[in-house]
Amino acid sequence: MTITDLSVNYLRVQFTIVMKQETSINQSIKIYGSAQRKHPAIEELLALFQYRDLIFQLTRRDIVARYKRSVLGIAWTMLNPLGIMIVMSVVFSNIFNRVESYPTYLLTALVCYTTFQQSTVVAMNSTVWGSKLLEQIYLPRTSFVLSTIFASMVNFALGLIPLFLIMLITGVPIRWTALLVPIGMLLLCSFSLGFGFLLSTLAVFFPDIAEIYPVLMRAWMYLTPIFVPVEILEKVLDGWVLRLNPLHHIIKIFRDLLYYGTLPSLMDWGIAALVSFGALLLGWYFFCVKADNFAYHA
Amino acid sequence: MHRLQDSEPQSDTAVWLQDVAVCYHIPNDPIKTFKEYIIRIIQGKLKYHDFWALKDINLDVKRGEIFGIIGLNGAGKSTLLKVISKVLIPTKGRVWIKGEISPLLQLGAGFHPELTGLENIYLNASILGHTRVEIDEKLD
Repeated sequence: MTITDLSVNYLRVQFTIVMKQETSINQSIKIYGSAQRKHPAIEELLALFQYRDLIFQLTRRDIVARYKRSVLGIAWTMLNPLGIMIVMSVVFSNIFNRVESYPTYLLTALVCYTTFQQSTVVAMNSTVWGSKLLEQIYLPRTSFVLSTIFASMVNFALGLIPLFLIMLITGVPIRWTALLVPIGMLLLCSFSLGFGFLLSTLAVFFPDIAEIYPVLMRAWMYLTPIFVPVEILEKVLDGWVLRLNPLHHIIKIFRDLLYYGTLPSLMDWGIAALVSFGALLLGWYFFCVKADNFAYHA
Repeated sequence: MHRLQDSEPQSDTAVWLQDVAVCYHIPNDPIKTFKEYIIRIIQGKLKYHDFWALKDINLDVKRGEIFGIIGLNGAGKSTLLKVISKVLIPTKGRVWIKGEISPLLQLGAGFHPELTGLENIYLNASILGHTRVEIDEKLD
Protein backbone atom coordinates (compact mmCIF):
# COMPACT_ATOMS: atom_id res chain seq x y z
CA MET A 1 0.00 0.00 0.00
CA THR A 2 1.42 3.31 -1.04
CA ILE A 3 1.12 6.61 0.74
CA THR A 4 -1.49 7.86 -1.71
CA ASP A 5 -3.65 4.78 -1.09
CA LEU A 6 -3.50 5.46 2.62
CA SER A 7 -4.38 9.08 2.19
CA VAL A 8 -7.40 8.18 0.06
CA ASN A 9 -8.76 5.97 2.81
CA TYR A 10 -7.98 8.63 5.33
CA LEU A 11 -9.81 11.23 3.28
CA ARG A 12 -12.78 8.96 2.84
CA VAL A 13 -13.13 8.69 6.57
CA GLN A 14 -12.54 12.38 7.01
CA PHE A 15 -15.15 13.09 4.36
CA THR A 16 -16.86 16.28 5.37
CA ILE A 17 -20.22 17.55 4.40
CA VAL A 18 -20.23 21.20 3.66
CA MET A 19 -23.65 22.63 3.70
CA LYS A 20 -24.13 25.89 1.97
CA GLN A 21 -27.34 26.99 3.49
CA GLU A 22 -26.71 30.70 3.19
CA THR A 23 -26.30 30.72 -0.54
CA SER A 24 -26.62 33.85 -2.58
CA ILE A 25 -30.14 34.89 -3.53
CA ASN A 26 -29.89 34.00 -7.19
CA GLN A 27 -28.96 30.43 -6.29
CA SER A 28 -31.82 28.15 -5.36
CA ILE A 29 -31.18 25.51 -2.71
CA LYS A 30 -30.87 22.03 -4.15
CA ILE A 31 -32.90 19.29 -2.57
CA TYR A 32 -32.24 15.60 -3.04
CA GLY A 33 -34.70 12.95 -1.95
CA SER A 34 -33.93 9.31 -2.67
CA ALA A 35 -37.61 8.38 -2.41
CA GLN A 36 -38.61 10.81 -5.15
CA ARG A 37 -36.37 9.17 -7.71
CA LYS A 38 -37.89 8.46 -11.09
CA HIS A 39 -36.85 5.61 -13.35
CA PRO A 40 -33.01 5.57 -13.63
CA ALA A 41 -33.09 6.26 -17.38
CA ILE A 42 -35.13 9.43 -16.85
CA GLU A 43 -33.28 10.44 -13.68
CA GLU A 44 -30.02 10.32 -15.66
CA LEU A 45 -31.41 12.66 -18.34
CA LEU A 46 -32.43 15.22 -15.70
CA ALA A 47 -29.04 14.95 -13.99
CA LEU A 48 -27.27 15.47 -17.30
CA PHE A 49 -29.16 18.66 -17.89
CA GLN A 50 -28.00 19.89 -14.50
CA TYR A 51 -24.40 18.85 -15.23
CA ARG A 52 -24.34 20.03 -18.87
CA ASP A 53 -21.29 22.21 -18.20
CA LEU A 54 -19.41 19.14 -17.00
CA ILE A 55 -20.04 17.37 -20.32
CA PHE A 56 -18.71 20.42 -22.12
CA GLN A 57 -15.60 20.55 -19.91
CA LEU A 58 -14.92 16.82 -20.30
CA THR A 59 -15.37 16.93 -24.07
CA ARG A 60 -13.03 19.88 -24.21
CA ARG A 61 -10.49 18.01 -22.09
CA ASP A 62 -10.62 14.99 -24.42
CA ILE A 63 -10.05 17.11 -27.51
CA VAL A 64 -7.31 19.28 -26.00
CA ALA A 65 -5.50 16.31 -24.46
CA ARG A 66 -5.45 14.44 -27.75
CA TYR A 67 -3.92 17.29 -29.71
CA LYS A 68 -1.41 18.36 -27.12
CA ARG A 69 -0.01 14.87 -26.75
CA SER A 70 1.22 14.25 -30.27
CA VAL A 71 3.83 16.41 -31.94
CA LEU A 72 1.91 16.65 -35.17
CA GLY A 73 -1.25 17.63 -33.31
CA ILE A 74 -4.35 18.00 -35.43
CA ALA A 75 -2.48 16.91 -38.54
CA TRP A 76 -2.10 13.45 -37.04
CA THR A 77 -5.86 12.84 -37.02
CA MET A 78 -5.89 13.48 -40.74
CA LEU A 79 -2.65 11.65 -41.57
CA ASN A 80 -3.59 8.47 -39.75
CA PRO A 81 -6.50 7.35 -41.97
CA LEU A 82 -4.65 8.67 -45.01
CA GLY A 83 -1.69 6.41 -44.27
CA ILE A 84 -3.87 3.33 -43.85
CA MET A 85 -5.79 4.28 -46.98
CA ILE A 86 -2.62 4.53 -49.07
CA VAL A 87 -1.35 1.14 -47.88
CA MET A 88 -4.71 -0.55 -48.45
CA SER A 89 -5.17 1.10 -51.84
CA VAL A 90 -1.81 -0.13 -53.05
CA VAL A 91 -2.51 -3.65 -51.81
CA PHE A 92 -6.14 -4.03 -52.80
CA SER A 93 -6.71 -1.86 -55.86
CA ASN A 94 -5.33 -4.59 -58.12
CA ILE A 95 -7.57 -7.24 -56.58
CA PHE A 96 -10.67 -5.10 -56.57
CA ASN A 97 -9.87 -3.27 -59.80
CA ARG A 98 -13.51 -3.23 -60.89
CA VAL A 99 -14.26 -0.59 -58.26
CA GLU A 100 -13.94 2.88 -59.66
CA SER A 101 -11.65 5.30 -57.75
CA TYR A 102 -10.99 2.74 -55.05
CA PRO A 103 -9.19 5.11 -52.60
CA THR A 104 -12.35 7.19 -52.12
CA TYR A 105 -14.50 4.06 -51.90
CA LEU A 106 -12.22 2.78 -49.15
CA LEU A 107 -11.69 6.01 -47.26
CA THR A 108 -15.40 6.90 -46.84
CA ALA A 109 -15.98 3.62 -45.01
CA LEU A 110 -12.63 3.68 -43.21
CA VAL A 111 -13.27 7.08 -41.63
CA CYS A 112 -16.62 5.82 -40.26
CA TYR A 113 -15.21 2.55 -39.03
CA THR A 114 -12.16 4.02 -37.27
CA THR A 115 -14.33 6.65 -35.60
CA PHE A 116 -16.70 3.98 -34.34
CA GLN A 117 -13.93 1.66 -33.18
CA GLN A 118 -11.77 4.28 -31.47
CA SER A 119 -14.63 6.16 -29.86
CA THR A 120 -16.11 3.04 -28.29
CA VAL A 121 -12.74 1.88 -26.98
CA VAL A 122 -12.02 5.30 -25.47
CA ALA A 123 -15.55 5.47 -24.02
CA MET A 124 -15.04 2.08 -22.39
CA ASN A 125 -11.66 2.97 -20.88
CA SER A 126 -12.90 6.35 -19.76
CA THR A 127 -15.91 4.86 -17.94
CA VAL A 128 -13.72 2.26 -16.24
CA TRP A 129 -11.38 5.05 -15.12
CA GLY A 130 -14.35 7.19 -14.13
CA SER A 131 -15.99 4.44 -12.10
CA LYS A 132 -13.19 4.92 -9.54
CA LEU A 133 -14.19 8.56 -9.30
CA LEU A 134 -17.85 7.58 -9.13
CA GLU A 135 -17.18 5.66 -5.93
CA GLN A 136 -16.22 8.90 -4.23
CA ILE A 137 -18.49 11.50 -5.70
CA TYR A 138 -21.80 11.70 -7.50
CA LEU A 139 -21.66 12.52 -11.20
CA PRO A 140 -24.05 11.57 -13.98
CA ARG A 141 -22.61 8.19 -14.94
CA THR A 142 -23.13 8.70 -18.62
CA SER A 143 -20.78 11.76 -18.65
CA PHE A 144 -17.69 9.82 -19.63
CA VAL A 145 -19.23 7.96 -22.56
CA LEU A 146 -20.97 11.11 -23.81
CA SER A 147 -17.90 13.33 -23.66
CA THR A 148 -15.55 10.86 -25.36
CA ILE A 149 -17.98 10.16 -28.20
CA PHE A 150 -18.67 13.86 -28.72
CA ALA A 151 -14.91 14.45 -28.90
CA SER A 152 -14.62 11.65 -31.46
CA MET A 153 -17.24 13.33 -33.61
CA VAL A 154 -15.04 16.42 -33.75
CA ASN A 155 -12.22 14.17 -34.93
CA PHE A 156 -14.53 12.66 -37.51
CA ALA A 157 -15.27 16.09 -38.92
CA LEU A 158 -11.52 16.73 -39.19
CA GLY A 159 -11.10 13.34 -40.87
CA LEU A 160 -13.42 14.52 -43.64
CA ILE A 161 -10.84 17.08 -44.79
CA PRO A 162 -8.36 14.49 -46.16
CA LEU A 163 -11.34 12.59 -47.60
CA PHE A 164 -12.38 15.62 -49.65
CA LEU A 165 -8.75 16.04 -50.73
CA ILE A 166 -8.60 12.46 -51.98
CA MET A 167 -11.90 12.96 -53.79
CA LEU A 168 -10.42 15.97 -55.59
CA ILE A 169 -7.24 14.07 -56.47
CA THR A 170 -8.99 10.92 -57.71
CA GLY A 171 -11.54 12.98 -59.62
CA VAL A 172 -14.68 11.99 -57.71
CA PRO A 173 -17.09 14.94 -57.99
CA ILE A 174 -18.25 16.44 -54.71
CA ARG A 175 -21.99 16.82 -55.16
CA TRP A 176 -24.60 18.68 -53.12
CA THR A 177 -25.44 15.45 -51.26
CA ALA A 178 -22.23 15.99 -49.26
CA LEU A 179 -24.18 18.67 -47.40
CA LEU A 180 -26.25 15.90 -45.80
CA VAL A 181 -23.18 14.33 -44.15
CA PRO A 182 -24.06 15.93 -40.76
CA ILE A 183 -27.23 13.78 -40.70
CA GLY A 184 -25.06 10.73 -41.28
CA MET A 185 -22.81 11.90 -38.45
CA LEU A 186 -25.83 12.11 -36.17
CA LEU A 187 -26.62 8.47 -36.98
CA LEU A 188 -23.02 7.35 -36.48
CA CYS A 189 -22.86 9.31 -33.22
CA SER A 190 -25.99 7.74 -31.75
CA PHE A 191 -24.95 4.25 -32.80
CA SER A 192 -21.51 4.73 -31.23
CA LEU A 193 -23.14 6.09 -28.08
CA GLY A 194 -25.53 3.14 -27.81
CA PHE A 195 -22.81 0.60 -28.39
CA GLY A 196 -20.41 2.51 -26.12
CA PHE A 197 -22.97 2.38 -23.29
CA LEU A 198 -23.43 -1.38 -23.60
CA LEU A 199 -19.71 -1.98 -23.76
CA SER A 200 -18.88 0.34 -20.86
CA THR A 201 -21.44 -1.27 -18.58
CA LEU A 202 -19.94 -4.70 -19.18
CA ALA A 203 -16.38 -3.39 -18.87
CA VAL A 204 -17.02 -1.88 -15.43
CA PHE A 205 -18.10 -5.28 -14.11
CA PHE A 206 -15.75 -7.51 -16.09
CA PRO A 207 -12.17 -6.42 -16.76
CA ASP A 208 -11.65 -9.03 -19.49
CA ILE A 209 -14.10 -7.22 -21.79
CA ALA A 210 -11.24 -4.87 -22.70
CA GLU A 211 -9.35 -7.89 -24.06
CA ILE A 212 -12.30 -9.52 -25.82
CA TYR A 213 -13.38 -6.35 -27.61
CA PRO A 214 -10.44 -5.95 -30.05
CA VAL A 215 -11.00 -9.53 -31.25
CA LEU A 216 -14.67 -8.77 -31.84
CA MET A 217 -13.77 -5.58 -33.67
CA ARG A 218 -11.33 -7.37 -35.95
CA ALA A 219 -14.03 -9.84 -36.96
CA TRP A 220 -16.56 -7.05 -37.39
CA MET A 221 -14.16 -5.18 -39.68
CA TYR A 222 -13.91 -8.12 -42.09
CA LEU A 223 -17.69 -8.58 -42.12
CA THR A 224 -18.26 -4.93 -43.05
CA PRO A 225 -17.66 -3.68 -46.60
CA ILE A 226 -14.76 -1.37 -45.82
CA PHE A 227 -12.00 -2.51 -48.14
CA VAL A 228 -13.87 -5.52 -49.54
CA PRO A 229 -16.49 -4.29 -52.06
CA VAL A 230 -20.15 -4.69 -51.14
CA GLU A 231 -20.71 -7.00 -54.12
CA ILE A 232 -18.38 -9.63 -52.67
CA LEU A 233 -19.83 -9.61 -49.13
CA GLU A 234 -23.35 -9.71 -50.57
CA LYS A 235 -22.73 -13.29 -51.65
CA VAL A 236 -21.81 -14.40 -48.11
CA LEU A 237 -24.69 -16.28 -46.40
CA ASP A 238 -27.23 -14.94 -48.93
CA GLY A 239 -26.49 -11.36 -47.89
CA TRP A 240 -27.52 -11.85 -44.26
CA VAL A 241 -24.04 -10.86 -43.10
CA LEU A 242 -24.73 -7.40 -44.47
CA ARG A 243 -28.40 -7.20 -43.54
CA LEU A 244 -27.70 -7.97 -39.89
CA ASN A 245 -24.67 -5.68 -39.74
CA PRO A 246 -25.69 -2.32 -38.26
CA LEU A 247 -22.42 -0.68 -39.32
CA HIS A 248 -23.06 -1.59 -42.95
CA HIS A 249 -26.34 0.35 -42.97
CA ILE A 250 -24.64 3.45 -41.56
CA ILE A 251 -21.63 3.22 -43.88
CA LYS A 252 -24.01 2.81 -46.82
CA ILE A 253 -25.46 6.25 -46.09
CA PHE A 254 -21.99 7.83 -46.15
CA ARG A 255 -21.01 6.00 -49.37
CA ASP A 256 -24.19 7.15 -51.11
CA LEU A 257 -23.73 10.75 -50.02
CA LEU A 258 -20.01 11.04 -50.73
CA TYR A 259 -18.76 8.35 -53.10
CA TYR A 260 -21.79 7.92 -55.37
CA GLY A 261 -23.13 11.43 -54.83
CA THR A 262 -26.69 10.18 -54.75
CA LEU A 263 -29.49 10.56 -52.25
CA PRO A 264 -29.98 7.35 -50.21
CA SER A 265 -33.43 5.82 -50.65
CA LEU A 266 -36.08 6.40 -48.01
CA MET A 267 -35.75 2.74 -47.06
CA ASP A 268 -31.99 3.10 -46.46
CA TRP A 269 -32.48 6.22 -44.33
CA GLY A 270 -35.19 4.41 -42.36
CA ILE A 271 -33.10 1.33 -41.64
CA ALA A 272 -30.05 3.37 -40.64
CA ALA A 273 -32.14 5.59 -38.36
CA LEU A 274 -33.85 2.60 -36.75
CA VAL A 275 -30.53 0.86 -36.13
CA SER A 276 -28.80 3.97 -34.73
CA PHE A 277 -31.54 5.34 -32.50
CA GLY A 278 -32.54 1.83 -31.47
CA ALA A 279 -28.98 1.15 -30.33
CA LEU A 280 -28.91 4.46 -28.45
CA LEU A 281 -32.16 3.77 -26.59
CA LEU A 282 -31.19 0.21 -25.76
CA GLY A 283 -27.69 1.20 -24.62
CA TRP A 284 -28.99 4.13 -22.56
CA TYR A 285 -31.59 1.97 -20.82
CA PHE A 286 -29.16 -0.86 -20.06
CA PHE A 287 -26.45 1.50 -18.81
CA CYS A 288 -28.74 3.55 -16.56
CA VAL A 289 -30.39 0.52 -14.98
CA LYS A 290 -27.02 -1.05 -14.21
CA ALA A 291 -25.24 2.18 -13.26
CA ASP A 292 -26.81 2.30 -9.80
CA ASN A 293 -24.84 -0.88 -9.08
CA PHE A 294 -21.46 0.58 -10.11
CA ALA A 295 -20.74 1.77 -6.57
CA TYR A 296 -22.10 -1.45 -5.08
CA HIS A 297 -19.74 -3.46 -7.20
CA ALA A 298 -16.57 -2.03 -5.64
CA MET B 1 -27.04 6.87 15.70
CA HIS B 2 -30.58 6.06 16.64
CA ARG B 3 -32.53 9.12 17.49
CA LEU B 4 -36.12 9.92 17.98
CA GLN B 5 -37.26 11.98 15.06
CA ASP B 6 -40.21 13.28 13.16
CA SER B 7 -41.45 11.40 10.15
CA GLU B 8 -40.81 14.36 7.85
CA PRO B 9 -37.73 16.60 7.62
CA GLN B 10 -38.16 19.94 9.42
CA SER B 11 -37.42 23.31 7.89
CA ASP B 12 -34.05 23.52 9.67
CA THR B 13 -32.99 20.00 8.66
CA ALA B 14 -30.01 19.62 6.36
CA VAL B 15 -29.38 15.87 6.20
CA TRP B 16 -32.15 13.46 7.01
CA LEU B 17 -32.14 9.68 6.81
CA GLN B 18 -35.06 7.40 7.54
CA ASP B 19 -34.69 3.62 8.01
CA VAL B 20 -31.81 3.54 5.58
CA ALA B 21 -30.38 0.14 4.78
CA VAL B 22 -27.71 -0.91 2.31
CA CYS B 23 -27.36 -4.47 1.16
CA TYR B 24 -24.56 -5.83 -1.01
CA HIS B 25 -25.20 -8.93 -3.10
CA ILE B 26 -21.94 -10.80 -3.06
CA PRO B 27 -21.42 -13.87 -5.24
CA ASN B 28 -20.50 -16.92 -3.16
CA ASP B 29 -17.44 -17.52 -5.33
CA PRO B 30 -15.82 -14.32 -6.55
CA ILE B 31 -16.34 -13.72 -10.26
CA LYS B 32 -13.45 -11.95 -11.93
CA THR B 33 -14.15 -12.21 -15.64
CA PHE B 34 -16.99 -12.20 -18.14
CA LYS B 35 -15.97 -15.71 -19.20
CA GLU B 36 -16.39 -16.99 -15.63
CA TYR B 37 -19.75 -15.23 -15.34
CA ILE B 38 -21.12 -16.90 -18.49
CA ILE B 39 -19.78 -20.30 -17.42
CA ARG B 40 -21.42 -19.93 -13.98
CA ILE B 41 -24.76 -19.04 -15.55
CA ILE B 42 -24.63 -22.07 -17.85
CA GLN B 43 -23.67 -24.33 -14.96
CA GLY B 44 -26.43 -22.78 -12.85
CA LYS B 45 -23.93 -22.16 -10.08
CA LEU B 46 -24.45 -18.41 -9.81
CA LYS B 47 -25.43 -17.93 -6.17
CA TYR B 48 -25.31 -14.76 -4.12
CA HIS B 49 -25.46 -14.03 -0.43
CA ASP B 50 -26.64 -10.80 1.15
CA PHE B 51 -24.44 -8.59 3.24
CA TRP B 52 -26.15 -5.79 5.12
CA ALA B 53 -23.63 -2.96 5.48
CA LEU B 54 -26.20 -0.62 7.04
CA LYS B 55 -29.48 -1.35 8.73
CA ASP B 56 -32.19 0.95 10.08
CA ILE B 57 -30.16 4.14 10.08
CA ASN B 58 -32.07 7.22 11.20
CA LEU B 59 -30.37 10.56 11.17
CA ASP B 60 -31.42 14.17 11.48
CA VAL B 61 -28.66 16.73 11.09
CA LYS B 62 -29.80 20.29 11.58
CA ARG B 63 -28.42 23.16 9.60
CA GLY B 64 -25.26 24.61 11.09
CA GLU B 65 -24.67 21.48 13.12
CA ILE B 66 -21.26 19.80 13.12
CA PHE B 67 -21.75 16.09 13.01
CA GLY B 68 -19.07 13.41 13.36
CA ILE B 69 -19.30 9.70 12.79
CA ILE B 70 -16.98 7.31 14.57
CA GLY B 71 -16.81 3.56 14.41
CA LEU B 72 -14.57 0.55 14.02
CA ASN B 73 -13.16 -0.64 10.72
CA GLY B 74 -15.96 -2.05 8.61
CA ALA B 75 -18.65 -0.45 10.75
CA GLY B 76 -20.16 1.24 7.71
CA LYS B 77 -18.95 4.82 8.10
CA SER B 78 -17.87 5.15 4.50
CA THR B 79 -20.98 3.39 3.26
CA LEU B 80 -23.10 5.85 5.20
CA LEU B 81 -21.23 8.78 3.71
CA LYS B 82 -21.62 7.30 0.24
CA VAL B 83 -25.36 7.08 0.78
CA ILE B 84 -25.46 10.71 1.88
CA SER B 85 -23.42 11.88 -1.10
CA LYS B 86 -25.70 10.10 -3.64
CA VAL B 87 -22.95 7.69 -4.66
CA LEU B 88 -24.89 4.70 -3.32
CA ILE B 89 -28.62 4.41 -3.72
CA PRO B 90 -29.93 2.86 -0.47
CA THR B 91 -31.55 -0.57 -0.75
CA LYS B 92 -34.26 0.56 1.65
CA GLY B 93 -35.29 3.78 3.31
CA ARG B 94 -35.16 7.45 2.45
CA VAL B 95 -32.36 9.97 2.13
CA TRP B 96 -33.18 13.65 2.03
CA ILE B 97 -30.58 16.36 1.57
CA LYS B 98 -31.00 20.10 1.48
CA GLY B 99 -28.06 22.04 0.10
CA GLU B 100 -24.91 20.92 -1.62
CA ILE B 101 -22.59 18.06 -0.75
CA SER B 102 -18.85 18.53 -1.20
CA PRO B 103 -16.98 15.32 -0.57
CA LEU B 104 -13.23 15.76 -0.11
CA LEU B 105 -11.65 14.05 -3.06
CA GLN B 106 -8.24 12.55 -3.33
CA LEU B 107 -5.98 15.47 -4.20
CA GLY B 108 -5.84 15.91 -7.93
CA ALA B 109 -8.31 13.14 -8.68
CA GLY B 110 -9.92 14.97 -11.54
CA PHE B 111 -6.89 16.94 -12.66
CA HIS B 112 -5.45 16.49 -16.07
CA PRO B 113 -1.75 17.27 -16.65
CA GLU B 114 -2.28 18.43 -20.24
CA LEU B 115 -4.67 21.21 -19.27
CA THR B 116 -3.72 24.64 -17.93
CA GLY B 117 -4.42 25.59 -14.34
CA LEU B 118 -7.46 27.64 -15.26
CA GLU B 119 -8.86 24.84 -17.44
CA ASN B 120 -8.37 22.41 -14.55
CA ILE B 121 -10.28 24.71 -12.22
CA TYR B 122 -13.24 24.69 -14.60
CA LEU B 123 -13.05 20.91 -15.03
CA ASN B 124 -12.87 20.14 -11.31
CA ALA B 125 -15.49 22.66 -10.31
CA SER B 126 -17.85 21.11 -12.83
CA ILE B 127 -17.08 17.65 -11.43
CA LEU B 128 -18.29 19.04 -8.10
CA GLY B 129 -21.51 20.05 -9.82
CA HIS B 130 -21.04 23.76 -10.35
CA THR B 131 -22.19 25.45 -13.52
CA ARG B 132 -19.92 27.60 -15.65
CA VAL B 133 -21.75 30.76 -14.59
CA GLU B 134 -21.16 29.94 -10.90
CA ILE B 135 -17.45 29.35 -11.52
CA ASP B 136 -17.13 32.56 -13.51
CA GLU B 137 -18.66 34.46 -10.59
CA LYS B 138 -16.28 32.96 -8.01
CA LEU B 139 -13.11 33.08 -10.08
CA ASP B 140 -12.58 36.72 -10.88
